[in-house]
Amino acid sequence: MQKELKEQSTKPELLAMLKNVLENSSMAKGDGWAASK
Amino acid sequence: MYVLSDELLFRVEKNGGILINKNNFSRLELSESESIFLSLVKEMGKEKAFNEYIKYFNADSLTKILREKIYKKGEIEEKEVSSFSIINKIQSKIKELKKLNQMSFPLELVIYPSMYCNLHCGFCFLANREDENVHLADDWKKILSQAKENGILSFSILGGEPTKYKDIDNLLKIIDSLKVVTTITTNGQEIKKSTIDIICQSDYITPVISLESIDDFKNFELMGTRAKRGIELIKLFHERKKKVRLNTVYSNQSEEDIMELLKFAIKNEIDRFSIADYSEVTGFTKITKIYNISDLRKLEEKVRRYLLDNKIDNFNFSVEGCFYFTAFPELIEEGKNLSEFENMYFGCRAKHTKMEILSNGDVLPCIAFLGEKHTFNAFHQTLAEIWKNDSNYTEVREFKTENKDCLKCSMLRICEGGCYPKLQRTLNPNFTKDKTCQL
Repeated sequence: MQKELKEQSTKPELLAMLKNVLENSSMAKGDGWAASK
Repeated sequence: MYVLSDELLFRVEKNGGILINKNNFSRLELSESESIFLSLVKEMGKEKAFNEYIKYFNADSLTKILREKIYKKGEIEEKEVSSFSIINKIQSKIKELKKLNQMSFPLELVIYPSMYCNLHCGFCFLANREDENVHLADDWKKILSQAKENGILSFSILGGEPTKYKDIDNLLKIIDSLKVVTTITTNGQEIKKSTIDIICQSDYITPVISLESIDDFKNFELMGTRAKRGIELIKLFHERKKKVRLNTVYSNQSEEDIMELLKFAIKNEIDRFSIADYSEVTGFTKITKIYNISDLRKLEEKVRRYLLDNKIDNFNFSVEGCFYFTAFPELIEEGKNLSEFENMYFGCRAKHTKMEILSNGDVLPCIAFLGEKHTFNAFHQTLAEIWKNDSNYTEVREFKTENKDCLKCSMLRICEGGCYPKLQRTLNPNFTKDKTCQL
């Protein structure tokens, strides 16, 4: 499955970068959120 | 017959629904039509579900979902339920979730089977690390089973020191049998051989070792113990070909300390090396905070540069912490393009995706609520009831910032002024902007 970018974004690469930051950082204290990454 | 693949978690949500790959957490957002169709697939298989669906709706709405590689050959024991009643149920559920403006259930469940800890780390967020209220693993089984039935994605076992919990081996066996991806975070000082064996044999449980520095003196300063045992435990898991993770709280280590940890992690093929922002949110930590979120970004850039310069691909490194995105002002404008589901998924976990249960059963949306009143108990009420009615949840979900800067920010729906319990400790919560924010 692909993570879809929203079409209305004017700068899809920036949106993808933001999502990457959010995805990677959304787990505090080393707990289970991203358990299988 | 084609059925939905076992590796996918399907949940009906207010945006329609979501499919999440349980192994790598990749996601596919679903429309209401697609969610109705997949609900039918769950009950009667793909072929019959399609025939039933087109009795009520236009097949065009399924073009995308029919092509996705999400099905496998299988069998389903059909129940005597009419497709009409399934459709009605899903439509009502989506309507209710929209009205409540919340996810159907948490995605992650954090449990603290015992608050007791054999160490006294200066960055620990707990006030009391002694415990007389522990429940046996069988009691936890009822809670964990409920979570699984309601669509939980992951478990996290924290503490206290979870390997010192008296019934840890049985708890791990129960979790393994539930087949939910789980991490157990340990200081690794006194872990039993039997516990190591159970973890090594499990396809679902991943150990996360807490280590603050490779240097004995520095680690002693931060954790009250030398680094030796943590290092040995990581090496042991590595030798036994068990994936193991390393977690470090960035409190007052130097960049060199972190780089040494990184080199150690690379050498031992750590599955994931995470550096967490040091949070003082509970008010019980002892080390003075010296780094902010922007310092964390600089550290991440240094680590990424090292990986690039040394041509180390595929090393799983992450920097974690609430509001880390505020260290990236150049990306913030794109926040307005996040979907309704992403605003919840990436937003405050206490509001949308997480439940934490202390050893006595008290429920918190997040450990930041440790000092707040806990009104619900997981040993006495159902998790679904707590998720919907606990006042800590309803208050954080209803909170709206009125801070002028925040109202103009593209990340407003993700952030809503900052950490709710922290804002509540200020004189004017609605007008206060969380100081963690770097924007």
